[in-house]
Amino acid sequence: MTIQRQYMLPNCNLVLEGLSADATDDPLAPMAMIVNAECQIIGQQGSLKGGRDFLEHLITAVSGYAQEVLSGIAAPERHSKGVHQPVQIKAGEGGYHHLLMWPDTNPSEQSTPLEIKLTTVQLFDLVEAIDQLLADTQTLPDLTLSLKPLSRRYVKPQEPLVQRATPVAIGVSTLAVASVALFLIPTPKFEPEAAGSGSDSSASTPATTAADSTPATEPTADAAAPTSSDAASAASALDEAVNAPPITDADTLVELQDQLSRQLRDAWITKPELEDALSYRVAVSANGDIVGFKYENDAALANVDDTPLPKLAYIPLDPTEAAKEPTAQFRVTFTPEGKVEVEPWRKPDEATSSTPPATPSLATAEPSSSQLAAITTEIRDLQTLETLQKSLSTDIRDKRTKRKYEADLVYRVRLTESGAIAGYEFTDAVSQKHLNSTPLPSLAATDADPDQAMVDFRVVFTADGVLEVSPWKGWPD
Amino acid sequence: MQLHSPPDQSTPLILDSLPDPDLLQDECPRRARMQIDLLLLAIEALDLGASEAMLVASRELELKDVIRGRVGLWLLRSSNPMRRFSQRRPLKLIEAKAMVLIACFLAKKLTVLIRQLSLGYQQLNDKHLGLEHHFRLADYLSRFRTHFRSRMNPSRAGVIAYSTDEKLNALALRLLSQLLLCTGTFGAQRLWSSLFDGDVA
Repeated sequence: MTIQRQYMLPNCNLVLEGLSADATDDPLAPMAMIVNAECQIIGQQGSLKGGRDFLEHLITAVSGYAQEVLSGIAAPERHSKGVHQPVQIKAGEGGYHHLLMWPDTNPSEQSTPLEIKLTTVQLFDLVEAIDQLLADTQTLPDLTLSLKPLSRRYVKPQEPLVQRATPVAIGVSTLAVASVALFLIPTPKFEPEAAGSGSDSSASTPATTAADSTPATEPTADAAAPTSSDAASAASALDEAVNAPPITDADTLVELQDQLSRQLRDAWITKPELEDALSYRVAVSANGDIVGFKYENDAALANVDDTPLPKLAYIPLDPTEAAKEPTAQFRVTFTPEGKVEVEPWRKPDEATSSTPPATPSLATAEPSSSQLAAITTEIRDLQTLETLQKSLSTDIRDKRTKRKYEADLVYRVRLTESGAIAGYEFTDAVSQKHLNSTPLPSLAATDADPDQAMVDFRVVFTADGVLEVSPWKGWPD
Repeated sequence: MQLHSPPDQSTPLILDSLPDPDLLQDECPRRARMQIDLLLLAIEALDLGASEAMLVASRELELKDVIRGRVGLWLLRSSNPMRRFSQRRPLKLIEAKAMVLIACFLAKKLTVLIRQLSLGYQQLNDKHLGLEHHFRLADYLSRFRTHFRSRMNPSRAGVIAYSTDEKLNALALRLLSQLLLCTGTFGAQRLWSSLFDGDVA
């Protein structure tokens, strides 16, 4: 005898017929097996009938659909084409739900399903009937409610993938475009400030050492090594410069002499202990650059590094080419007392000649108006200096005619031991201009022996008319 | 030695009927918080005395420790990010379970009304009549709209989606169907499971 169970709800009737585990006739025994299940919706035509399989499919479909209504998220596996579910419920219009059932187990879609249109209340009653069945431990106790939340895989994100990927794509593309644009901007070029770089390597090293502004990254040994080559290249440059056309304009010469002496004085900071004076022959171009220098005595060669000449010298790239530039020659003397003397170059055998090689404008009959060469023997005796100073002052005062000048005139006057004026020279353009109005030209003697002991005096004709005479190198201690 | 500490507070047994979902973090996801708050809102729209009834239900179900009074309930409900004064606190699973149980408890008490309204809506739809023809339904919908607008933050995108009356009505009717499903035998379990659809691994 079959056991019947009925779950009656206002809108749904679920009737189960089955057998108990042990074949007893007790209707209250638990129904372990089901023979027939029938589900009828009150108010609808047709009912759903079937066996255990049908019941299970019905339960799966209804339960899943109820979850879908509750959460609003549908499980796509229930509608997958791969596995054909015999019982399906789909949402319809107007708040209706369509329950579809394919009666035979044949999974072909061509057979027409049985369709039942359910209102929400009817759906709920169906769900409730099934829930009551599942809750009933006396009927099919193996059937229980199994609910699992849907996995994240089955949920489509609210925004479509395209919309979500757009900001990422924009960001990455902007980064790419910006990096390409920045890559195209050229890197700034670093040009070390070179005073000049020779085609030969020896000429380039003095150029780098000449660049005071660049940081001294080269070791000092490196800088000290090519000193001989320094001098050699400078000397070769000077030799070429000798052949250059000389600058003949007196004003330019005076200016260049001033500039050179100022430059050397400013640069010669560390004054070393010198025994002898260092004498160089320096070639200067029209704009004041030292284009070459050569030693005149042995001491000059040995101590060339102690002078600022190597640093200041601008060795041109091609000395032969630079030789076409007009240059002026000067004799530069670095004295042991720490003074720099610059005078226009005169060959040693012309030291006593009266004609000045570079100042034709001063070509007068007056002797010894030319520039002074270096003193060979110098008078340093205080007594003698005093005597000489007195006699020189007296001589000049006696012969002075003009008293007042526009500016101070400074002259360098060379005296022998006897008090005769062996030579004199002007120190700037103003003194040169007014030279002839001073008594110096007339006082100078012409037959001074260069090997005599001599000393230089500084004679100043001030603008107010005062005469000042003092030793050029100062009073000895 | 006597222990002076208070006895352990075990979680109420009723909460064990709802299994813990397999979540990445120990708190409720956004959608779950929103759904619970909206369901409780719908219950309040159905029945005027619902707020008091919630507190009574929490006492009857012995959930007083989880939901600590009126303010506690308000705090829990305010974890809904759409609220005006949304609390930046996470909603613990045990608190969510308590609220689910209270919602189903109250829904079961309102079964008749819910069924009536659902049927009424179906009939109106079939006859293509406006919603104002069913007094009780219109009452529910207008109350729902008022509650929603007064409590939800209007600058949130999720709230702007419900800016018109029609959309709010549709939301209210959807919630009504969901409440109907909550009145069943396994209503609480079904609701609890549906809260985490799409959020578990």
